[in-house]
Amino acid sequence: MNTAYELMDQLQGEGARLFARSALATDHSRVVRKVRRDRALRTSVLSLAGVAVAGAAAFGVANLGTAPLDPVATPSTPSDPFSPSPNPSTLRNSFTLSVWKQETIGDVARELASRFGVDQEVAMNALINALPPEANGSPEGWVAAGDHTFLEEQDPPHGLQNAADQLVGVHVQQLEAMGVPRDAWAQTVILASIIQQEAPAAYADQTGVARVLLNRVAADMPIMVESAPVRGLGLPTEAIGAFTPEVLDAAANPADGDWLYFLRTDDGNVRLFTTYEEFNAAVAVQ
Amino acid sequence: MTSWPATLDALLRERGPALFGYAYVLTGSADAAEDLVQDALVRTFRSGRGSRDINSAHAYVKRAITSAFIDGGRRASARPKSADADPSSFDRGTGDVAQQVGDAADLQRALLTLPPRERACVVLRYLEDMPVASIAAELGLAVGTVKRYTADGVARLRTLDLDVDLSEPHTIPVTEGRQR
Repeated sequence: MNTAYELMDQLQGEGARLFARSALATDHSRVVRKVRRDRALRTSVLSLAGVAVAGAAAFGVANLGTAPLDPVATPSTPSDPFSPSPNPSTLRNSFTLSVWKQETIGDVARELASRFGVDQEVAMNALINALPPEANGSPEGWVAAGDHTFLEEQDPPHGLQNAADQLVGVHVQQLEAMGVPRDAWAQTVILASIIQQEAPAAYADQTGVARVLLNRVAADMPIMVESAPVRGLGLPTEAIGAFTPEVLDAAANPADGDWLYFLRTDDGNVRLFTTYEEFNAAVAVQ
Repeated sequence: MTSWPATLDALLRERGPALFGYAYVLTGSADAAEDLVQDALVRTFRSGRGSRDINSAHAYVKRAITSAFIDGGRRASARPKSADADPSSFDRGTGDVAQQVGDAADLQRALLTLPPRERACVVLRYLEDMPVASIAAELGLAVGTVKRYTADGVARLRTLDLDVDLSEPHTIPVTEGRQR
């Protein structure tokens, strides 16, 4: 009787002989094209982040505030994708993970998992482990939209956890730097995730919408926005997707005003209203 | 340091058959093996991990094959039936003789009935002779989880009444030929 090893080895040999008949044996240009495209994207992102990366002392940096809404809108491919980055000796082992605006945490975990060659659940656990206690174990919204550049790619689990810590650390550090009280962190994150979807364009719109949402919560009015599937009163119990540091800033610094309504115009801007009558009149002419 | 296209070229020329063979054991079909190897090559070389030398590239690609296989299995498990789940569909190659081919083919059909993670654990344990702790590190799973997948997979194979010795692989002498 053969051992399992012997039989599997035999199968492996059989497969090895089949390689000659595969397209890969004679033509791997598809692999080259895909790799070129992915590396070109990475190089261009690193070039944009160049100054910050070269100045970073430790594990990594994030190039934020430039997150494209649409993957197609990523920085254009340079004519020579393999031109040296600003500081090649520092950047050789770096890689970039792009988080789109409104991206859900499941997609972030999947991307992180594929970079480290682990299960998505493992990557998700690393993200959850990286959360501050204020997140109540709910990672949605806690990874900033933007390009996160990591200076080293170590093997899991150490490298994976470092990367997760870095991904979550961007928002946490910003909340600390802005002096948001810890017991308001979760609400600020949830608010920001809604603002990202409702007022994607201008900072002034974002601070205005932040105020509208908070006024409605204070007045026991339902949130009633398209993006948040919320029934009843108050903010949803968790965020609805990723947002940029700029939006987090807006959520933490709402404009002053007694608006209770907002209307998105066709050009992506936002108009604010105090009364239902004003709001209705504007809807009627839109 | 050679350029990555040169490393990729040399890797496929020198190690292509071995990598393809490994993917074939996991998937049971030449077409699925080709997709898997291609996916693993892209994953490895886009991150720059493949550019050092052919040996480290080989190791990275092999690991990427395993994780791409498990990822693909998870995606496919949402579908009612995946292409490689049909034991009669795999291409057995040509020119081999009777009995051994039969036993290997039986084992392959049996392997294809295992869910991807169990299959990967069983293949890494028996074919690669990897200790449980290394399999856990390779797959990003807990040691206990790997033990369970392996034990469940082996238990299932035993119920299929195959003509194969499924005793613990450390009893096999490790020879030069083991490492593909």
